[in-house]
Amino acid sequence: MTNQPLNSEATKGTIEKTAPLLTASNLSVVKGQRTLLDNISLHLEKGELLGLIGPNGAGKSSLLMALAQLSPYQGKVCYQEKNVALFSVSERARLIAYLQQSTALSWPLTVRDYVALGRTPYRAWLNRAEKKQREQDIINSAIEQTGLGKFTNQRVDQLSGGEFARVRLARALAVDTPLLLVDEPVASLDPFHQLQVMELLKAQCVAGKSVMLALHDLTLASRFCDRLLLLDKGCLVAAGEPRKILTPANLQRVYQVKAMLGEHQQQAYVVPWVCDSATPFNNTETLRGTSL
Amino acid sequence: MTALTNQQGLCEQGANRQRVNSQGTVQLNSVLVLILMLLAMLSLCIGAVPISVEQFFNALFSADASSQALRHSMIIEQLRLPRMLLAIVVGASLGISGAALQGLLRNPLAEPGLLGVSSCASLGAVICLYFGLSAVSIWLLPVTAMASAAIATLLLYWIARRRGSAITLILSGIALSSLASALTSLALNLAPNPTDMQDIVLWLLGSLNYRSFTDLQLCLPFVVVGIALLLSCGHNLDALTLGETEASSLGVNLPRLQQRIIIGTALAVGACVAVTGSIGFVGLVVPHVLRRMVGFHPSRLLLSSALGGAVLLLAADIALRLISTQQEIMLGVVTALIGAPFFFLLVVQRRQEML
Repeated sequence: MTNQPLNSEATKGTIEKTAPLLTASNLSVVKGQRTLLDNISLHLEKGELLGLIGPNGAGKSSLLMALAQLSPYQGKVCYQEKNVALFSVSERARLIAYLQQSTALSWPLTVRDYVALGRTPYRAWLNRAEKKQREQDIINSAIEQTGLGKFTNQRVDQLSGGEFARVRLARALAVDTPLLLVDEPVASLDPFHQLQVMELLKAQCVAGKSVMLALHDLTLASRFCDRLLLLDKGCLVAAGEPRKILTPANLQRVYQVKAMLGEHQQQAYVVPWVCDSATPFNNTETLRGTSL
Repeated sequence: MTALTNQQGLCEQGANRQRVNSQGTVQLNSVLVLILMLLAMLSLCIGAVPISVEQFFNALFSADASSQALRHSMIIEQLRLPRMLLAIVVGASLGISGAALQGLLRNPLAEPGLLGVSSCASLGAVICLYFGLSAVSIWLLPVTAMASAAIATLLLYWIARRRGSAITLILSGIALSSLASALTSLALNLAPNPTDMQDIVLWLLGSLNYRSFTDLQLCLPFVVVGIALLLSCGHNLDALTLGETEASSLGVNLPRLQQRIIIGTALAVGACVAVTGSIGFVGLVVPHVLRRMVGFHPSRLLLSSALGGAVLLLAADIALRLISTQQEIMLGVVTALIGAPFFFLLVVQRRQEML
């Protein structure tokens, strides 16, 4: 247990020398008259869990969609210094997995069949026996990781909302890409499964994959993410370590809430406490050990 | 540790089950083929002149040159064989088109007949036939029917995308279908040599009466291409279960998938309607009955629906020949009699989801 932080520290040290896995420069998304994203630049390192926070309508989903090449944008997105827009769709699908915030269910497949759809980019006309076995292994491991083993043969329409959310996450994991973009995966989960999903995503990063996720739970963001991006009204307000981002001033400015900030077992937590939309922020209390 | 092995056990069980599942589809398809072959035999024997199995083999395979055997072989080869083959081709086209449209629109109520694709094709065919365009080239008939079917499908798809609700789609389909039917009647009335009611009814309800090998030749090439196009869409339709955005993230080329299904449906349905008139409800009933048996996979449903559609239409054609009346009943009447109550049931069941 004690070795783990050291390890991740060590890997981080080596990574900073290499080029980032994903970079976006001057990314803008305009839909009709509305500017959804305004000139955003960011980068994502290998093995990093990058959290995307901000109020509703801040542009979190638009940013993830644009990075996944699923909506038109201006600017440039590079994967290992290669322009992603020039990749073929199937090439891209094997590098970047994307999970939408919510989906309407069209046909009630079984859990296993649903998760197996994640293997679509690897579908070939003729599959050799060993390849088939490998595909099965990947699907099984995605199902096990999300704790869905006992639901394998159940129809997805018979699951609870939280169970279905995990099935969808398993589907995204089954794509087995180096980069995973997830839009609010914990929004409909109970505390146990929220933690389970966050730990799962963290484990993916430890295993060398990179994850970028949008979320609303600031405590989970602070605990699990390596870095946070704070979005507001389509602009990138702040980026950096959770402690530097989750400050009273930032929270008041972006979310218009006063929050209770504290520390438990050397880890910061944030509990939104009261709305504060009318009066300008004039509270002097600050998060222990951090300054603006 | 035991928990882990337990989980592995469950997963392996899952893998086995999936194998059983796709095997189940193979079994289902084999059963459908078997039924189809039986019905095909039956279809050659049943009709105004009943032919027993013994007479059937006599007429076709023995050197018996009696006048009865000759007459029987002529009836079988000239009348019943093209009719039987056409029923299979048309049924398969309608079944697979229904399954593909339902997969694309992610809506179990989508169907070429119900959505007006068939009636538009019918309108195209009527315009071509009765205003003398088919005299220019006989191939113009299926081509105009297919073109109008494509326009109808495109229009519906455009509506479905802009306002995704099922009810909008069905209502637009009904409007389109009524419009096309009205225009068909009008076109037949205005035709240079006006025709009787029988002709109007033929194009609106569809029939296989007196069809020859020429008719089969006219539609078969287009149907084969259309069905092949639709079959090639299977796995992309599976991925579309996840919704358009996630399907594209998995590398599904959405515009190309849509094009393929629209063109495939237009080819298969348009060519068939050009020859038989519009026959409704096959594409609705067949995929719905089979969907559960193939584990709700849109891809597995395609081939099964083609076979199922052929079985249903052939069975309906045999049934109407068994009910001998002065004038033969329209095939479209029989399928509507089966399909309309079925559709009603489906709407009632899905009421809550639709509104």
